[in-house]
Amino acid sequence: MTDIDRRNPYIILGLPFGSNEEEARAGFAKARRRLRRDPDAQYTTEDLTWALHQIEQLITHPELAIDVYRVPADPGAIESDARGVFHPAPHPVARTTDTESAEEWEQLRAAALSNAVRRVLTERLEASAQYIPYQ
Amino acid sequence: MVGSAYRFAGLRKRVGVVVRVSPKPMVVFGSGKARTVSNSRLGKAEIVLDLSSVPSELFRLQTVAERSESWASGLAGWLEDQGTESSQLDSQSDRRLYARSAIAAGRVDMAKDSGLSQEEILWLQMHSAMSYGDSDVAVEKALALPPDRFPDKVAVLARALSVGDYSLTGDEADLLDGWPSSMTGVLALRMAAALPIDENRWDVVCQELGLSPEDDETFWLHALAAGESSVEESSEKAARIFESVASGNRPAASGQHSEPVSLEEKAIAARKGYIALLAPNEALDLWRSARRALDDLVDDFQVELTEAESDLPDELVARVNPDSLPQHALESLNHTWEIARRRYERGVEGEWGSTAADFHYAALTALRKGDISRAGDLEDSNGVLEAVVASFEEQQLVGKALDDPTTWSVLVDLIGPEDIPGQSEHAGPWYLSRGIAQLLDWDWSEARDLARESLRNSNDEAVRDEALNLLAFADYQEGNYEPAMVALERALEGDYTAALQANAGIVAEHMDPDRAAYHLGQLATEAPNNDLRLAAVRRAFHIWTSNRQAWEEEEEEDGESFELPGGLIDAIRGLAVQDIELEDFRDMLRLLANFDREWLADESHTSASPHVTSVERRVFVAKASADPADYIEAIASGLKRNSDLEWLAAERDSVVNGLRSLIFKDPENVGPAVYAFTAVDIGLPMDPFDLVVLTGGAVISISRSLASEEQIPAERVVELFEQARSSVGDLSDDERNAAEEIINIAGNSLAMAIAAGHEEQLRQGLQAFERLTSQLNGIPMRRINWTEVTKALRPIHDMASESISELDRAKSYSSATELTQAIDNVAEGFNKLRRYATNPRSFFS
Repeated sequence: MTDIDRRNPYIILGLPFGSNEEEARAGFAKARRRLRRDPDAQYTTEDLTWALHQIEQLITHPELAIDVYRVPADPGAIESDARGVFHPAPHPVARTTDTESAEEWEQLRAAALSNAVRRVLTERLEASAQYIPYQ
Repeated sequence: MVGSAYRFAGLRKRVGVVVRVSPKPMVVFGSGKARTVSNSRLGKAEIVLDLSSVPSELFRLQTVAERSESWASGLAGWLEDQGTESSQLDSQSDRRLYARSAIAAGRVDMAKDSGLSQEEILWLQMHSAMSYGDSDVAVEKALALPPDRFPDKVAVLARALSVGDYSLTGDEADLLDGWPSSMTGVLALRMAAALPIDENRWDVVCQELGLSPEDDETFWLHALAAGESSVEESSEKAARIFESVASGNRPAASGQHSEPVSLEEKAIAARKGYIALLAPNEALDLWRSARRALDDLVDDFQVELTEAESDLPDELVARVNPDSLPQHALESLNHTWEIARRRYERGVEGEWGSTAADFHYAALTALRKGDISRAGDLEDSNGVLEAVVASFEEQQLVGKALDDPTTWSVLVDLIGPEDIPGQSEHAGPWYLSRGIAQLLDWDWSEARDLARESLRNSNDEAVRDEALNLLAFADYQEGNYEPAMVALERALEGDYTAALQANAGIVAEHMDPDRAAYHLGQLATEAPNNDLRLAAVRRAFHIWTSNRQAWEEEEEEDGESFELPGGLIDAIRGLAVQDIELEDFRDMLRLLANFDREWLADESHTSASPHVTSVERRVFVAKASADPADYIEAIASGLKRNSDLEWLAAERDSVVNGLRSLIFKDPENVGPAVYAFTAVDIGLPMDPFDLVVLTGGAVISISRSLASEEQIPAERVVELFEQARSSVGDLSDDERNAAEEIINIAGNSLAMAIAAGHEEQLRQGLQAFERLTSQLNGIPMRRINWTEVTKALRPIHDMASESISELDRAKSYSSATELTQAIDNVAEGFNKLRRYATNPRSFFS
């Protein structure tokens, strides 16, 4: 088995597995610039051309991807959606209501209680075949 | 009958209730008017409500009064006209019926004249109201009754509770205490009464209802009833229940779960500090009915929409899902913070505006570049930014900056990687992300090191699996297949992922075909879609078959059976009944026909396939069957219907070439020739040259076999040979030369078989002749009835004639002088036999 057999078109273009055609072309251009700067790089322009062609083929024939090692195998493992100061969460617009909401919360609680009681009563009493006069 | 309703004919049909029969029938019509009618008219009327079986006249009237308000009005007038007084009513039941009728007729004042007590009047009013469906009045009357009497009021209250928003006050609840829990409705009322009021009563009711105090549903009801107090909300159980309800799921209690939790319950659970998952219509409902409460939840980041909203007001979307709001809507709402945030995330360079949001994000942009000069403009709600600034000043990550993963890449790039934080849940993903970046930068060694750091710093399975995948790729790139495989197999422990499995197949390909086939077989069985499964099967098959010969050449030479690994077979079987493309189906069945014949031969195994009626299924199931003739017939049938099927033509060519090869390789083995003969005999469509060659080969093999057994070839063999021979002239020059040679050999073989078969027949004919003539020995010639003898020898004569004819035809197939001479010799023998059979006397003379 030679190194050529292990060539991975995505890795050669510096792209994660599954990149689209546009990303592949951008990766190709970036890798070419790198080759110009670094003549001793482990890949050649022929490798880059091969990789771009391979990715284009994989896009039209995804079943061929069975032969391509996937890095990452699970993009979700590295695509951090963690929010923080440098990746702030969207801002809700400022509220236009006042903050005196206790009365509304009490109404919601009473309604929630009423709904929950009725649900439990209905299920329990129907399950035990109890009651329901005046059908 | 008094009380029954009749339909009277007339100019228009009217329904009325008979309220009196003597001295003249009186009828109250639906209009409410009472009229007398003649007996004859009543007799002709049609009964529409027959209450004749009801013994009490008053009860009958009450019944019809409660059925119709207009009748009730009419009956009231009639009752008033009667001037009935309690003294005229014979019994308590009559009084009750009279009062109930009066109540039904809307004349409570008359009911009070019935002589019943005030409580009984209330009781009757309660039942009357329920019969009308008026729960409010029914409850009012029920609660006015004495607590310790009239038990059926409990059922009335329970019913009212179940159909309305009614709830009991404490005093009202007390009236239930005297009643047994076995009574209908008591438990329901007790439960409702206990919830908001009394902890002790609640426990009792839970027990009576079979609700365990430990049940999640019980806990949730209790939490709702307790409001802001009395429930332990910090426990693990409370967290689980609140989270479940907030996301719209029932508390995981026993019993039925047909009805989901209500919006109000979701809101209350979210208020406890959990994310409420709201459908857009639910968000809109809260927005309209409890906007301040919704705003509270939004401000605490406790609302998420379950799906993209379509018609919600922009103001609401800007509150609950500002990320989805289009730019123009943000500008219309002057939502400066979200506008600035989006600009910051896009990395737009240039001057910022003058709002507080602009100042903040301009300062944040500067901070990202290591410029802390604008730190005073930052809105720092939780102290993280202060820690970031301090980290820059101290040249190491400090304080809350360590807990915010978004600060790392910024700070490490500026400060240096030697201070990478370790003890954090974010460390593993962070190392992993950087490791992959190194891999994409073609630095396998650095990628491997970072993958190991990620493994050291993470317990998260997804992160660890990805780190192992990264580690494996780095090893794979350097040709270290065994450690790469070990890493991947570790990653595959636990949760399955198709991508890892595919990677394992790729690495295993470099190790041994069985291992690769195992991993790809796993992928083919468990991959999330049929496309990937099919690709895995094809890849596994290719790897396994192309490598097997190189790896196990000796075994191949030994001629041992060629079997696919079990996992791969299972995967192919599964795909064969999936909804896959016909072409893929064909490939799977072709594999099964070659490597899993017994399973495929059972037609029931593939009867669930969408391609159950396809030519493919018929052909490959036949191929898998024990009789190759079935396979040949299936191909012939398919090609006769559609000669353009390339795959089927390829199957046919494979069969023809295979048979031809086998026949000419070993003509003494008659098996292939029999199937070749079958193919020709049933008219398997094929190339004319193939037809001539296959027929010739079959004739050679079959003739040689028959000749050795001294059997005469069947007439069909001769016919097909002659057809083939006559077709030779239609072939191209090159084909004709090759075909003529085969046909010559076949002709000689056939002639030889015919000669051999007839030689044996001649021997038998002579024996039969001798047996017959021996019986004539010792009999004087003149006493023999030669006419009868000649008659007895007739079959021998006919057989000889037929053989002479066939041998004469056989001579035309022979191109060898010696063979022709041999045929002539046999024919001469038959000639002699025929002469003796024709004239037996000459034999004795």
